[in-house]
Amino acid sequence: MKKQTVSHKVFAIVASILVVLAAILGWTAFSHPSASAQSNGRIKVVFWHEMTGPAQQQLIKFSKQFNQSQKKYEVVPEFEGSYNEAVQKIINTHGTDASPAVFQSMDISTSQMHHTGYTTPVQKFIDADNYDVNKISAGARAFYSNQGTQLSMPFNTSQPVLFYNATLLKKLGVTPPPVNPSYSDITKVAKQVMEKSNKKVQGMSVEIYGWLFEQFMANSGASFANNDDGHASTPTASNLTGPSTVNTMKWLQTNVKDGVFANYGAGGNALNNEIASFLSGRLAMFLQSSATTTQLTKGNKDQVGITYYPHPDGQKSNGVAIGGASLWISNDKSAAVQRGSWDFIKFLMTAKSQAEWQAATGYLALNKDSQKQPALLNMYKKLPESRVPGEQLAAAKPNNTNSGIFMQGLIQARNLTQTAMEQIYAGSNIQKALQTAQSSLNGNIKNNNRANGY
Amino acid sequence: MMLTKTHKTLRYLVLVIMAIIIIGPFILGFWTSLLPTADIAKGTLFSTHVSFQNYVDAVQQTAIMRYLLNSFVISVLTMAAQLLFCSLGAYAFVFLSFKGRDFLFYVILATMMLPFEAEVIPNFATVRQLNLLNHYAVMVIPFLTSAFGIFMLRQSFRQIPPELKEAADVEGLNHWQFYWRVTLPYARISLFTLAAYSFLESWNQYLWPMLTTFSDKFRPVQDGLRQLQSQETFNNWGMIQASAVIVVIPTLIVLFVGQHYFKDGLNEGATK
Repeated sequence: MKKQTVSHKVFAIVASILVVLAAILGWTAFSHPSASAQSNGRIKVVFWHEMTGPAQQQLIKFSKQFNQSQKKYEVVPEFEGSYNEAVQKIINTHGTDASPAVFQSMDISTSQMHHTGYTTPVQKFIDADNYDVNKISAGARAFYSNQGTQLSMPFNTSQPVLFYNATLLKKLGVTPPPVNPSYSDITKVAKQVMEKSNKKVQGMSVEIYGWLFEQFMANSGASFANNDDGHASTPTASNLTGPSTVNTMKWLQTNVKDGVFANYGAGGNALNNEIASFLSGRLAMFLQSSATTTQLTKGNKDQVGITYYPHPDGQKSNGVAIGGASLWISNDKSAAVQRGSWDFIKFLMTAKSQAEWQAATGYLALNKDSQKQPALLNMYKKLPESRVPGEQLAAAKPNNTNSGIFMQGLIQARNLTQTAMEQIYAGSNIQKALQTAQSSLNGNIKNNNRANGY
Repeated sequence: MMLTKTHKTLRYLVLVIMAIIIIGPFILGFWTSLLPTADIAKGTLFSTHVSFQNYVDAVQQTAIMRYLLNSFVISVLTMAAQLLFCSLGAYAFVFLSFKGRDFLFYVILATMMLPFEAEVIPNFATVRQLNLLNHYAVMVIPFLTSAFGIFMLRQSFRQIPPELKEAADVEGLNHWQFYWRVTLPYARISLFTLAAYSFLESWNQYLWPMLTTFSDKFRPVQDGLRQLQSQETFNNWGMIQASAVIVVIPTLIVLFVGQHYFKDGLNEGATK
């Protein structure tokens, strides 16, 4: 072995340590990605979204189109995972270089986002530009506004609807449900399907999903929380034990007991199993978000029918709230960046963009003029049922019970309502299950209000 | 000990059954990665529409290649840094005597008792203040050294016969020379094990990168993979499966190459 001097070796080791450290620190200092000034002189507008699949492709396309349409701003779309993850990321990066200029946040985070104080309400830009908001669906706008101020711009919007396998019903000789069905209309169809298929096809299914629970209440005109579902002021208590809610749960439980109802449980796999059963012709009807339309119709030889969300018997439907997410502008960026964010939002809300959005994703076009756009007209021609969710949205007059719940902690609330649904499906006492959920929820609301000093 | 024939067959039968149970999901995953999504959604497992289209889609439509590169950069850096710093730390705990040495070692061991998830909030606040978010640095700097690595290498360094150290002292080797010429070659197997271990550990990171990266430019594979799953809309299961298979390949290579060392190394010190 070659003999080396001591200092040589020491030098080698110390140098290697220094190189590693210097490399890491150097990177951090020089190549930080989130500087707001771009080399090409454009103002960078970072856009955080939570869309995947076709919706993500379409958003990337929109960003490119917007960047080509003007020379001042450059929108950079970045994907941030699930809605829940994104909310945390947005709140925890606020004020750093990494935070977004404009972001998409889910429906039930509205109150939480507003109360962080990290956002500039889009109302400010609507007023400054005299932007005509009446072009945008009133039901969707109402969900994201508070005391007359538009907090964020509704974007990807879906409606809960009922899907049925039209081909299968025809084959069995069962009359499909009407466009705006009542609970007993659904039961009737489900029973006939079971009988005529010799119990080979399940009649109906309602996923254990808090969103659907909320929509049952909305459609029967019942408030989930007091103070007009939080639209008047911060809710202090919830009301899950009202007669209409009990009535709905009774309807579901009876169907479970009669054996015409398939229970797929809760969570992400429940939806996948439900869809798999529906596609393979083992399930005739189910309630789900209209955003699944693409998945249900693509590559499916059977014809799929769509109706409004079911309403209680002997009562007109009050209309359901929307689901999905809206676009917010962060207030930790310069006025120029915020302006760029707003211009991008305006671009996304044009009649043309919205029509293309619905055709590509199944989310509803919110601009009223979109209905005349070729992208949508082509889709309606190919798939006439795809009109139904949009019609349902247009038919509902927004009021305090069908414009969402303006309350924090709705994720926890959904866990509670889902537990209640699970118990009810398993045959528990309805009143008791709902009462348990309500007391826990009231405890949560009280704690939350105390912690925030309301 | 000789085994009777029936004995042997029985043992192999049990082994085969267990192998099937364990490998089953992997084979199923691989098989579905070859099927079109429409067939997967319908549950027709024995479909005849077998193709590599999903792999083509995965490479073309998603940033999976970028994720692989990111993970590779992060894992290699973490591995190199851990080898260097852990071996230096372990050397100090074995061959240097200083006041409070054992106490310091126990303090380091104590950090192993605290799961990383429990430290996430303060760590996040720290990197946020340092403005490191959304960068390779944020996924490398907190993992430059590891308590487990120090512990493992200390155990292996302690097996170096004290006579060697004495002989080295007589020869007039200083600490750096002894570290480089004797300790590292002697503990080669442990170093390989640590290298494989830290590479895989870093490759499989999920929670931390999820919290600290915000763009595809820096996102590692596991998070990239998770994000291929959509919410509310259409899930391209075939493509997701194909991506998962692509992501697993580097892990398998490291495991196959390192298996020999891995097995020896992890048991080392356990019997001492």
